[in-house]
Amino acid sequence: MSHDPWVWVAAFFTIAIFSYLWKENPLYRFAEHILVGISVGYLVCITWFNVLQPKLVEPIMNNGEYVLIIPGIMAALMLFRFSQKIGWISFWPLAFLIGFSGYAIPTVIETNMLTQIQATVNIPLTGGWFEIASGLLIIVGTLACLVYFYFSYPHKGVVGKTAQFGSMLLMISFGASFGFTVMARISLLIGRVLFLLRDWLGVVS
Amino acid sequence: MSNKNKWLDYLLNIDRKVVYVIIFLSVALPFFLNPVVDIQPTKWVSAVYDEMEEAARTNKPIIIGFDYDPSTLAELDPMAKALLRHAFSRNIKVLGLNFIANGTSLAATTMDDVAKEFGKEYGKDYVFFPYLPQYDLVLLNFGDNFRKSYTQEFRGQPLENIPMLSNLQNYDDFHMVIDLSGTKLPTIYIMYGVTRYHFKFVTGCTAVSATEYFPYLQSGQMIGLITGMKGAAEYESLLKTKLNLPTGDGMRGMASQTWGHLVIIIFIVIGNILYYVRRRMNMEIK
Repeated sequence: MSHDPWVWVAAFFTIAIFSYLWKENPLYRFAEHILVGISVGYLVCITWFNVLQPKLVEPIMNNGEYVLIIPGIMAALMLFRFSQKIGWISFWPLAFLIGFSGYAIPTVIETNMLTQIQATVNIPLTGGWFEIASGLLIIVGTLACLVYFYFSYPHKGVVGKTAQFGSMLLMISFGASFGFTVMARISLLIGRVLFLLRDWLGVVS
Repeated sequence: MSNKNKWLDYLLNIDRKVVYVIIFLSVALPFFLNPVVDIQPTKWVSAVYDEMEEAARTNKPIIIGFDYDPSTLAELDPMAKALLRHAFSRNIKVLGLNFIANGTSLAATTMDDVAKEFGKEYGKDYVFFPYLPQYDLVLLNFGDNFRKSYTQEFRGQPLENIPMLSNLQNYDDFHMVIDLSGTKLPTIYIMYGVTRYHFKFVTGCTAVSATEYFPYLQSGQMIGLITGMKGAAEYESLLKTKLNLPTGDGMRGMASQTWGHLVIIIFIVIGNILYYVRRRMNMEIK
């Protein structure tokens, strides 16, 4: 069994969180609130020591980079969100941020549309039968899924059958996502069980 | 007939706590029984291994983004440790990045722990950059010179004092970039890094987000993909087979993963059969 008090603290909170599986209880609530509080406190400290202090306070105080006062004020204006009366002031820095995020549009189009379309168009239908079948499935599957989301024409006849095939492929994709989700959740449980059995209790090597 | 119905009702309305206990046992028991699980690496994980070997040959450092926090630690930490073990065992220098504030100390600890195993020195063999917000701008700046965003490393030393960084300034000086995350950050790396600067990129993600990243593999925007604890186990198995390095928590959890999945599959199959039988019985009664 571990002699490290922090391992005991972690084990206590793990069990407290797991107690929710039995039913909602004060121990779980306590652990939940502690988690939220510590996460926020940690975030504030990290932001202060890694961001605000070296990138705002020190350059202004030590290097005389007074231009940084402008973004500093803009950031402070965001805090007006907490006020119901003058919360509108926070819209100014928000408007700046939203306007500035326009630079993302070309790169999003290139990354998630153009390159993906190019990759689908340029599938080499060569190699063994498996590679050719996979390539064909990607081309036909992409087109069928696109037809499924084409609503300007009634889904009847060939269009209807293609849309149905696209819908079937989407269902397979959702099934794969669900399978991966189960895998992820079991992995998280494994992590905690291994911690309890090995790091805390020391009953497995 | 009524006796049958009673049993069906009982099984279909079984208390969820019973299900929890069975799943817990299916996950916990393999740690005691140690059944042998054979893990075959996928071609995407093998591609990452091969690229790391290439980095060793070209003697270029790599970047690893440790963008995870305690909620995805179980899946991504074994992956991070396996990659670091490979890098340090082949004398590849590692630059660590982090854009998830709550994971900063975790990443620093993981790097220090693995570096200690191989006798690596901070600042000379590896370095960790502190958390910064606005990751999109940081990644864009990195394409020109990372000193535009970072003035000091995680422990507070100015970058000029770090010997490892003396000849490094942007993506071109690194062999590849790996991002380990359960968030959308790998997509951000592709958008602001790969699309503009065309470096070799690998994602290590949680199993939940795996399906999101396969299209980037097919399009060549990513050269490798490690998914979840199984991906970590695959990488560990490669390290064991090819470099005789000890396996870690990824491989340790694979038997539990298999048993856990088996139990869930059995529950789904039994549940569907019972549901079908009851529907048939109700139709016969009508």
